[in-house]
Amino acid sequence: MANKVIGFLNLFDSPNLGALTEKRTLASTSFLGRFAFMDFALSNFTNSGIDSINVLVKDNFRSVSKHVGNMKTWVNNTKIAMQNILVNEKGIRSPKDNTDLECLLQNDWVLYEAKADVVVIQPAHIISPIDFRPILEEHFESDADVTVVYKHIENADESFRLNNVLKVKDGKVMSVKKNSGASKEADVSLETYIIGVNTLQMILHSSELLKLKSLKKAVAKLVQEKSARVHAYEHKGFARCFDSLQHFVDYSFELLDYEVAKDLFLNDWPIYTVTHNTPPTLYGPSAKVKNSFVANGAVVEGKVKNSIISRYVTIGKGAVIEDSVILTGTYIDAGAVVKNAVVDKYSHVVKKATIEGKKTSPVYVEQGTLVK
Amino acid sequence: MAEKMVAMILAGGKGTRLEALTKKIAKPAVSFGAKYRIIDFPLSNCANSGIRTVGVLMQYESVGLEQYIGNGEKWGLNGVRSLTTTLTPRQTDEGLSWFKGTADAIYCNIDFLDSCNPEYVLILSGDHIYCTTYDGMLKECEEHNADCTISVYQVPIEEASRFGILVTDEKQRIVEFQEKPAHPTSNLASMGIYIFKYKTLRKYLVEDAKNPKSSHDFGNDIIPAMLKNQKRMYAYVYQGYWKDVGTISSLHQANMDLLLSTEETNIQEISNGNKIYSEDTPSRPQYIGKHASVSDSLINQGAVIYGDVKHSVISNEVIVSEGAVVENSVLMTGARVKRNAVVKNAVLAPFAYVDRDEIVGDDSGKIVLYSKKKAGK
Repeated sequence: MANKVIGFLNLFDSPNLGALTEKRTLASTSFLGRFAFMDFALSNFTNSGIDSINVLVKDNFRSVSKHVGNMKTWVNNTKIAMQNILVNEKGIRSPKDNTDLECLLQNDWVLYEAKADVVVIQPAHIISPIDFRPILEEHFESDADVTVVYKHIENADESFRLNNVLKVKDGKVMSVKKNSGASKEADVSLETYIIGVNTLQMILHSSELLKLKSLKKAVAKLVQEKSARVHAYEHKGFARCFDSLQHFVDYSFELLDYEVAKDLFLNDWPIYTVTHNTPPTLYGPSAKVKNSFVANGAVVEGKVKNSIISRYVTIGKGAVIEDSVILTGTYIDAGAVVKNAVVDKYSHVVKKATIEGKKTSPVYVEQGTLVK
Repeated sequence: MAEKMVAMILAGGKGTRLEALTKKIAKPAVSFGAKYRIIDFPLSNCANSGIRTVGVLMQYESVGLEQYIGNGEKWGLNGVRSLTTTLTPRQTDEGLSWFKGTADAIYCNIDFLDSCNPEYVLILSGDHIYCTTYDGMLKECEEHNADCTISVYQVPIEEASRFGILVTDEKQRIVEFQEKPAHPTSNLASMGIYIFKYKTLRKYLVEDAKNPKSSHDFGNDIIPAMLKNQKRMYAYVYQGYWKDVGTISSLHQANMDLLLSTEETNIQEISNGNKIYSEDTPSRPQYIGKHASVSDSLINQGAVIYGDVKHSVISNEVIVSEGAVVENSVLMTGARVKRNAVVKNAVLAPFAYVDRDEIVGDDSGKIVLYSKKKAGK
């Protein structure tokens, strides 16, 4: 019989992007005007045929549950599938125990109920189209206990700085260390794991590993102590780690270039998201738009350049938006100017007001701000 | 449990005047307004009116439409006490027969209506563009204790001879029905939207089915028969945007009505504060290119524009290449306009392919339909 695979989306290592992720986790933060970050990882499960999807939530439960709802958006068969948002209830009483390992342990009923043989765990803040089917195949063929998905990059000095770097030999992970940023070339872990259920149970019931308070560290320990067969799988496709506001802005704008975007939006790899039943984008007679993503529900009458405009954003006549990300439901009145800024949801930039940041340090405008 | 009002949407027609657009799909499934299909409008109206049971009657090219309707989930009509069902001609004890007319289509599904046991039946057309709720119409129907309430649209009197016209007394009670009258005495055009008391409707449907001379049509047979018997029939005057899109040029015009530059209407105005529900495609974000220019247009997610788009309505997955010009046109799902091509005063069918330097449409004032696909596709 085929091995039963279930998926976990691990939100415990979600980076803090300052005020942008104050009231929401990065996983449910708006991306490219149309998506939430977690849509990409969840669609990886869907497109790989993994129907049992569980979200390990650390905090900001509201914004996660608002986005995923009953998760029907990402499942193939709505009866066979199992979808859960998993909270570590013990962690509410004792925040220091609120770790991904504890969350998995508290919710290990999922493993029994699904009769899982193997689990796939991935984070939401690394955007990467990953097909788990060949990885699972290799995992079983190599008879590994754990498979770590990694990517070879040439800018490790300025990206994936919160991730681990692997030393890989003949498909095996020989050692794991933090990315010190000292070298440009590195094999960085995508914090994406295939783990046999027996190995996972062993980890969850080892008081020594639980003390490490993170799955990432527990896997590193297994490698260090050679106590498990840890296989390495190289992902050759697109991957970006959204770990700072600057990266959020840079990596968003980078996708305006079709040559980059075509590696993320693959033809046979649709990205599913929640429908908001928004009408199409309405451009007025005086609209001037260049090199931008614009979401449905937006009404554009002004000038927009090198920017990302989200749902239900209204841009008045003569307003100028450049190199900026405008989030859902924000009003930019006629004549206002917004450059190098991230304007959060439901804000209102009134007539002739100006917001100007720098390319290397964009201004962030908090949700619901009235900018005069 | 008895339902207050069940909706029956007539979606069986071919829509011959839409030419190639309805060659493989029924008219209600034709793409509209960059994101929608025509039938999204009556279905969303039902959802927004709190109607829970909807039957969609179909005949011509029913498979594609049935697939689209599914269990009504796209319009939220799949909740615990909701039911969306597609009703097609079926084989019965008496044999197999096609729907012979609008009234016959309902008559053939009288067992379905009996099982719902509604107080009222709302008869809708699957090919009208309008956003409303039927609450006001039902309220008037109840106040008048009417057997039938017909929604009417006020048309200019000089155009009235193109419509089925209702003549009413001062209390809106219908006294006469004139089908395309040479000398109309009223400007109230029937919209083909009816609320019937189900008991009364049932009786007339059964009688009509027995009449070999009947064309089994609501407008031609049922309404005149009820009028003749002095049933309580009232007109409900509809306010707001409403379009029956029968031809390529009226379909084009209705699309253009959604734009901001259009006087009085645009998509936000037409939707009247209600949402229009539709299929959500897993599209990429809509992208407007570095050298593109886009103005006075309605564009859906997944479209990629590198060229110039002016006064147009563009569906998902459309690509307009650099140097191409699209003006006063409707581009349906997946249409491609290649480099330096010109599309003007045209409707491009889904997945239509306009090759490099090709010119589609002209300034003759006629809207052309272009449906050529890429060779080999």
